[in-house]
Formats: sequence, C-alpha cells, structure tokens
Amino acid sequence: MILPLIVFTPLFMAILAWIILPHFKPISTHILTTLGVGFSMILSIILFVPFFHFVPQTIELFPWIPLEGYTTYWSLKFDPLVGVMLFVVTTVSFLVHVYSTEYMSHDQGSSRFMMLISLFTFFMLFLVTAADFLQLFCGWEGVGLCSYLLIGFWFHKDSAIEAAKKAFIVNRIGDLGLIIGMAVIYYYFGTLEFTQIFDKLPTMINISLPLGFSLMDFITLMLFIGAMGKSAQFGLHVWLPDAMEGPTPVSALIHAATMVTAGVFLMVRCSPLLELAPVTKDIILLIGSITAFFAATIAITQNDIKRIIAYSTCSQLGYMFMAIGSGFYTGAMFHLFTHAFFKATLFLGAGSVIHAFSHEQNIKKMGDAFRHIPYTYAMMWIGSLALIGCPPFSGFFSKESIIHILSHTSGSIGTFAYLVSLFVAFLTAFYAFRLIFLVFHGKSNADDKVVAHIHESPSLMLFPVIMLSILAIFIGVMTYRLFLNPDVRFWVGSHVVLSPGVHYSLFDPVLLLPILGIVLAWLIYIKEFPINVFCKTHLTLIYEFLFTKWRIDELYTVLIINPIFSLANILWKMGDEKIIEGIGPKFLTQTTNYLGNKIKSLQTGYISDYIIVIFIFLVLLIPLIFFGSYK
Amino acid sequence: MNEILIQYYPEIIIFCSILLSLIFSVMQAKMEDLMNFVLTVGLFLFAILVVFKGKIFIHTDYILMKEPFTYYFKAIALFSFIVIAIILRKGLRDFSIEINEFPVLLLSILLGTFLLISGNDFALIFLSVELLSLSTYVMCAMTPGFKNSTESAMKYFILGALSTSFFAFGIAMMYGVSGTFSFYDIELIMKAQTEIPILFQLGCVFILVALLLKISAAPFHVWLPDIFQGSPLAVVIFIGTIPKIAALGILIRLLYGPFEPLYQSWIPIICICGLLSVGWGMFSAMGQTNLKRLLAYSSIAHIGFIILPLINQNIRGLQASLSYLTFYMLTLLSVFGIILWFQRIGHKIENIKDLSVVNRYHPNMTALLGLLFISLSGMPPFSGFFVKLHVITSFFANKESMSSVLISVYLLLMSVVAAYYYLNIIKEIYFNNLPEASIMKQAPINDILAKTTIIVIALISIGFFWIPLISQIREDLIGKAVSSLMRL
Repeated sequence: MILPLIVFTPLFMAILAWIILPHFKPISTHILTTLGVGFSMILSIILFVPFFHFVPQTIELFPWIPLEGYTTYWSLKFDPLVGVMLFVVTTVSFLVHVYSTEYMSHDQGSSRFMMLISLFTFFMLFLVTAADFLQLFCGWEGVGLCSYLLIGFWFHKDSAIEAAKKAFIVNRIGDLGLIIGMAVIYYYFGTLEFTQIFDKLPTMINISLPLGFSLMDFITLMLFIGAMGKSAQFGLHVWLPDAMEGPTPVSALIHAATMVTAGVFLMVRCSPLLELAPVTKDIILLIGSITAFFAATIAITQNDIKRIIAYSTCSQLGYMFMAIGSGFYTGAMFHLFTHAFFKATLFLGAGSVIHAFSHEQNIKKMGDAFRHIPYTYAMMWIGSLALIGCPPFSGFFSKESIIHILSHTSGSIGTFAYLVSLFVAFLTAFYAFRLIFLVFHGKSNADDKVVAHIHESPSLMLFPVIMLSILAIFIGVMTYRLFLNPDVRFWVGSHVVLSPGVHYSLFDPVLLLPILGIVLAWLIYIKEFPINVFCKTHLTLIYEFLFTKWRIDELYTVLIINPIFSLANILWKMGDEKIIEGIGPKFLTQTTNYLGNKIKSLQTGYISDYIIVIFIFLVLLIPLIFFGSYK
Repeated sequence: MNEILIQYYPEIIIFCSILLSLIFSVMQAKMEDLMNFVLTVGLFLFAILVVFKGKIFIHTDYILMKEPFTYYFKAIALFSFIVIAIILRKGLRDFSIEINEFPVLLLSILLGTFLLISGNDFALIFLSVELLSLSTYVMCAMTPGFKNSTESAMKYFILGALSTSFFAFGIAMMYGVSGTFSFYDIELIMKAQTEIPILFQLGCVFILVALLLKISAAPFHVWLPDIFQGSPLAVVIFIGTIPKIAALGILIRLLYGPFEPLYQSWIPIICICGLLSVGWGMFSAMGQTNLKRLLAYSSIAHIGFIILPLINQNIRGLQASLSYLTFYMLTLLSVFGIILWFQRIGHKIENIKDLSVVNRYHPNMTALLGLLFISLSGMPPFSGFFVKLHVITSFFANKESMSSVLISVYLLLMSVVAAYYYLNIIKEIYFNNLPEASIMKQAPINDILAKTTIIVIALISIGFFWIPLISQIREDLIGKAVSSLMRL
C-alpha cells in the first residue's frame, strides 16, 4: 500500500494544484505540492531505512494492453534498486520543492512551476517503479515532457524555448533507440517485463542477428542509445548545457539529480543483459570516458556558473557510464546516489549565489563574496569537496571506488578509461575550485550596485541546501558498505550484477590529483600566476576549441541540421506546395470553381436561350430510346 | 357507387372549398380569416386522409387511382400545404397577400396536385397539370410593382407552355397508337404487344421531358433559378414544394405503371437527366451568392438524387427515392420557413451574407438553419446522410455492375462538392465579420404558432431517420406505398 501512495501522491497533488490554480493564491499550491512530495519522501524513507527488510514485490494495478498471450499491466515494482531511486528522487524533490517556494515566489507562474515539478516527480517515480519496459517508457517520456515544459518555463525568452525544443528533439533520437530496443526484446522474448526477460536470458545467449551483431549486443546498444539521450552522453549531450535556461531548481532536480540519471538507472536495471554483451560494454566504457573527459575540459573554460555545473554533471555521468562499462553496476548506482546530493547542493548553492548577485550568472563578474554570503559559501565548499572526491565526503567513496575498479579493467579501452578517469579527477578539482575562487575570493568584479545588494538567501532557501550538504557529507560514509560490500546482501532480489568489494585507502596516490587541481586553481586565481593568460595567448587554438564546447553544436549544424533543413525546404516548396498541393487540392478546387463558373454562365437569363437548350436536349434524348440497355 | 364517392371525398371537398373561398373573397372577407379557412380545409382533409388510411381499396381501372402510393404522395403534399398555410397565415413583409384571390389559388393548386397524383387517365392528368401550372403562374405574377416577379412569371409561363405542348404532343402520340387515355387500358395494350411501336416510345419521351421540366431536372431546369430569385419567398416556398411533389408522383406512377414495358427507353433518359441534375446543380450552386438562387440549384441537384434510384426498378430504389423526397421536402420547408420567419421579424435575407447579420440577433434560429444545411450536405448523424446512403446502396441491391459502381462514385464525389457550398454558408454565418446592417424598422409580426411549427418541422427533418415514432411511421408508409406501386 505504501508504494502506490509514494508514487501517486505527487500526481494527485499536481492535479489538485492544477484544478485550484486559478482560484487560490499561489501559496496554497506551493504548500499542497510540497506537502505531497514530503509525504512521499517520508514513506520512501520508511521503505529505505530498514535496509534489511526489503521484500521485492510487484503490485499489479490493472491491465493496460491485453494482447494474445501477453498482457501488459500497470504495475509498481519494488526492489533495492527501486528503493534507492525512490529515496533519491523524493528527498531531492522535496528539498527542491521547499527551495522553490521561496526561489520562485516572485515569479507569476510559480503555481504552474510547483505543479510541473510535482508532476515531474510523479513521472520519475513511475519510471523507477516500472516493472516492464513499456511502463518505464511512459515514465521516460513523461519526465522528458516535464523537462521540456520546465526548461521552457520562461516561455517569453526565445533562448528558453530554443533550449526546450533542443532538449526534446535530442531526446527523441535517444528514445528511438529505446523503442527499437524494446521492439527487439518483445520480438525475441515475447514479453517486456524485466523479471521474465531475465528468466529467459539463458536461452537467448547464442542468437545472432544479421550483420554480425549478437542479439544481446544489439538490444543493449539500442537501450544505451536511449540512455545516452537521457543522460547526456557524448554525442547526444548538446541539450544539457542549454537546459540551464530553465529555473535553477529545475536544474538541480531534473538536470542533476534525477532525470539525467534515468539512463544510468536503465543500464543498471538491464545489467543482466549487459553482462552478456561485451561489445556494448566496451562501447559504453568508451563513450563514458569520452564524455567525462570532454565535459571536464569544457567546464574549465566556461564562465556561466550554471553551465560549469552542467558540464560537471555531464562529466560525472560519464564516470557512471564508465563504471557500467566496466561491469561495476553497484558503483555506478552508488555514484548516482551520492552525486544526486552533492550536485543538488552545488546547483541550489549556485541558485543562491545567482540570487545574491541579482541574477548575474557570469562568474567573471563576481568575486569577493564569501563575507556576505557565508552559508552559501560553506555549502559550495562542501558540494565542491564532495564533487572532487575529498576523503570524508560522499563523492570520495563513490568516485574512488570507480577509479579503483577501472584500474583493474583489462583491455586498451579499459586502460584509456582509467587514465581518463584520473585526468578528469584532476580537471574536476580545477574547475570546481576555479568556480569557488572566482565567485567568493579575489577582488569583486561586480557593479557597486550589485555588490551593495549582495545578501544571504532567506532561510527557506538555505534550509534545503543545508540538508543536502549534510547528506553530501555523510551519505557516502553511511552507505558505502551497503552498496559496495557484497557480503551485506543489500542488492538481493534486484537482479543487479554484483562485483567484488572495494577497499578504500586514505593514502592512495590518486588522491594527489584533486589536490594538484586545487593548487593549480589557487595559483592561477588567488595568486594570479598568469598561467591562464599564457594558455589563452599561446594555446589559442586549443583554448578556443574548448571554449566553444568542442564545436559540437556547429558540427551538428553543418552536418545534420542544415542538410535536413534544406531537404525539408525542397520537400516543402517543391514536393508539397508544387507537386502534392498543386496537383491535388489546389488543382481540384480551381478546376471545380472554374467548372462552377462556366456552368453558371450557361444561365443567361434569356428565355430564347432556355428554349433552345431544352430543345437541343430533347432532340439528343430521343435517339437514346433506341439503344438504351442499362440493365 | 357510394364506395367510389367516399374515395373521391378529398377532391370534392377541395373543390367545394374553392367555391366557398371565391364567395368569401367576393364578400371582402379579411385576409387572415381566409387563410384560416384554407388552413382549416387542409387540416380537415388531413383528418379525412387519416381516417380513410385503412379503407383504401385498390381499383386500377377508374379515372382516379386510389392506392397507398398516391395516398402517401397526397399526405406529403397536404402536409406541406398545411405547414405553408400556417407560415403564411399572418402575412409577409415583401409580399402583399392582401389580394383576396390568393386562397383560391392555393386551393386550386392543392386540387390540381391531388388530381395529378391520383390521375389514372391522360386527359385528366393533362387538365390537372394545367390547373396546377396556371395557378402557379398567376401566383408568381401576383406582386404588383415587383418587376422581377413579373419577369419570372413570364418566363415561367412561357416555359410552362412549352412543357404543356410537349405533354400534349406526347399524349397525342399515345392516343394515336392505343386509342385510349386510360393508363390501365394502355398498359393492357402494351403488354399484349410483342413489339412496342416507335410512336409509343416517342410519346413516352415527350411526356417524360414535360414532366422533367415540371420537376426541373437538368437539363430542363433552366427556368427554376430565375423563378426562385425573382418571386417573393411566399411563392417560392409554394412552387418549390407542392407542384414538384405532384409532378414527381405522376412521374413515378407513369414509370412504374403504363411505361413499365418501355423501361429500356426511359431508363437512359432518367439516368442521364439524374446524373446531369446532380452535377449541374452542385456545380452551379457553388458560385452563387444569392441564397434563393443557391437553393434553386441545390434543389436541382436533390431532384437528381430523387430520380436516380428509380432506374434500379426495385423496392430499395423506390424506397430510397421516396425517403429522399420526404426528407428533402421537410428540410426545404423548414429552411424556407426559417428564412421567412427572419423576414417577417425584419431581416431581409437576400444574399448568404445577410445570414451573418441575423446570427447576431437570433443565434438559435440561425444555428437551426446551419444544422439544416449540414443535414442537406449529407453529413452524419443527420438524416441527410442516411437518405444519401440509402440512395447509394440501392444501386447495389440487385447486382453489382460497373455502371452502378460508377454512378455511386459519381454521387459521392458530387456530395463533396455539395459539402463545399453548404459549409460555405456555415462559414458565412459564423466566420465573417460584417459591418452592422440596417434592420427594418417595422414592427415584427409575432406568430408563435408559425415559429413553433417551423422548429418542429426542422427538428423532424434533421432527425427523422432516428426519432423513433416518426421513423416508424415513415417506414410503414413508404413500405406500403412502394409495395402498392410495385404491385407486390
């Protein structure tokens, strides 16, 4: 009974908010939605905290698509994997709800905003509790829709609309992969339900498809394409930085903690399939490491505070996929878990910074703010330390374990991934502290007016950030045994493929890399060693390449968008307007009108004409009697 | 003898009431009283028809035919007559019926109609056609000082005379071959012969052409639009309905009676005229801006739909034809009724555009009018769809031949054209922003009875295929009429 309540309370509240929205003050919808998600959160904590009492179960609500031999049910599945996701989603969502009530309070559409993030929460919960691919796909599309609506929340801004469209369209490409994957699964397995698929796996190993694909490789590759779209992996990542056009709480909830991790969740959910698909695993490892690397390199050059964090998210998602590619599913899940909290901390903290600097997002126009906003400063420190993997913080446990596993991964791609993970750890530290130093230290670059206005956020905004930062500090220490130690038997009943335990060491030389990054950032931005100037002037090509985000957007414009547009133009102007419409509707209507006018003009109004017409036809009719043979 | 007299009661009553109304009009009776008298006669006749409904005995050799088929046509004609009498009872704006002969003419038309529908003798039907036509000519010309009216009456008269001459010529040929006027005898003679004389076929063609002129089937329709446009509405509503019912009645009776052996001659004629009517009417209606003219052309197209199923020579075809006729007459009456109603409360409707102005003041009635047009265009779930469906399926009742497929495809395509101009009216009503139009300052004529009647008729015509009681009556009557005509 608890599970349906968790899932459907946000939906119910969203609908209620939508109904009462025009009749009540905005505050009522704020309270309603926040209470709804809070209720869900409490229930999921009740489910999640007694770790050892997980009873994997599937609640069938009612049949959806009855087919011959196979009926799809709307159902809610519960197992440890779902439990983790429920905890993450409801907690972050609740804190973001609380944060938004204050952050959005001056916006006219705040009620709509609350309704939408409540609806998003429902779809996300629906996605993670899905017992089969079809329902997962519903949730998958639902979160995509909510993401679209929320990115374009300020619909009077052209850039927001463009970004929303971009997110939606890029995600469609990924969704196509997911649909193909689902179709192939249904074709071969005859079912879409996870448990049944995993049960049938042993009989399916040796099937191979045309063109040399093995069935498992093909299915998982298609599913991975879907995951790439959702989780902004290299190639389909272009929407994520632009998605920062949405309000900051949206970035924290959707584009850091929950929706973008849906791809990781899907991959972990399908880990039994992935285990049988070595080729796909290699591809995932490669794409993951490229993503981690490229996003980190871009992040070090960007100036928009939210974009830096967005690229950081992208990069961390790359880590998760690297873990999946190396078969370390529990590690990916663990990094997802910790990342949700420290990245939400960073985003909400960034929101607080933006709030303090009167909606300025360029970090070059900030500085010397730590005295004015001490709480935010502390939160950003905590978030950044967790992000770079500083020992007691949660990021340390997850990232460290991934790097540890990568170091044992064999093959050239494994080695490459390992090196990338090390280098990215360094870069992460660099851009994280570049951000902190530029925003909080050094000399102030903001206008006097803005500086005079810098102020700490209200307590309603600080409370969620503080809660998240507490989680960012302690959640890793508290739960790493649970996630990563196979002896704890946490994952029982979830079909997640386990890997051997990880041992942490505080004296791992790897830990020097983040420190190196911090020192470098300190040298450049506090001590003002002109290394960055040197790079800008002497390595212009590389700098420009990084600053323009590897020119991926331009590449896509030239390679994909322009050809499609010109093809569409040709089809539209030539094919549709000239050929189809010209021969079809236009020609027909014109001919009909012409005929109508011609026939109309036969009616002269002269009685002599009429009589002639009548006589002519009479004479014409007479011969008919001689050879009439209708029957 | 007494039995026969009872059968002739309706005609006798009408004749007597004509005489009475002549006396009344000489006595300078008030117009409204005269119209009330006419209405009373109509209602009384209707009562008689209902009473005698069960007592019809068919005898084919008398001068007047009494069978369920003629009974059905008389019922429609009388029903239309009563409705029109109710609508016209209190006078109109653009048409001064303060001419005391008007009721006499109305009743003469009714008498002509009754005699024509049940005439069983060429001499009689010739005379009744003349009675009918002459009355309508006079009616058209009755608006003094209205130039268009005179012109249209003139055209109507001359073309009517042409029709009469064809008719007389055809009858003469028939007589020349058979030596008799009686349908019954002619049919006997025809059936006795192994080869049908050419003169007989020619006579058949001339009589058909005369009747097609009367029902304004293309290509003999040329007079109708001018008459519709030129005459006052009160006359149009009359000549658009009752004479056509009468002419169609006798046409169908001829085709399925004495001309039955000649089916090889008349099927191509009816087929070609029907197809031409549908196409010509639909295409000409497209470009019209004058509402009455548009209705004239659409009436030509609908006549095509009514006569086309006759070529099937089966029960389904006849049923479809009669259903379509009933539907069309009801709809036409309500369309004209609503327009008349608008006119008497002060909105002159000449062009389609005027309707959008009316819509501002009387949205409910305009909506009803719009529904009627949609029904006419043949859109489900209104009756118009079902009658068209009936017509088209009747071509497949016996067997599927190439020609039936072609005809139905043609009818479907033409229905698309019809949808174009009927929807165009809806568009003009609702989606055009027109400047404020002047309203006539005369006091509106309030006539609750007329308004209620119009609304009821309109609702019946929109839904007469699924209003339970009415559809039952319709099926019952049409079924009996068809089986009596087909001698089943």
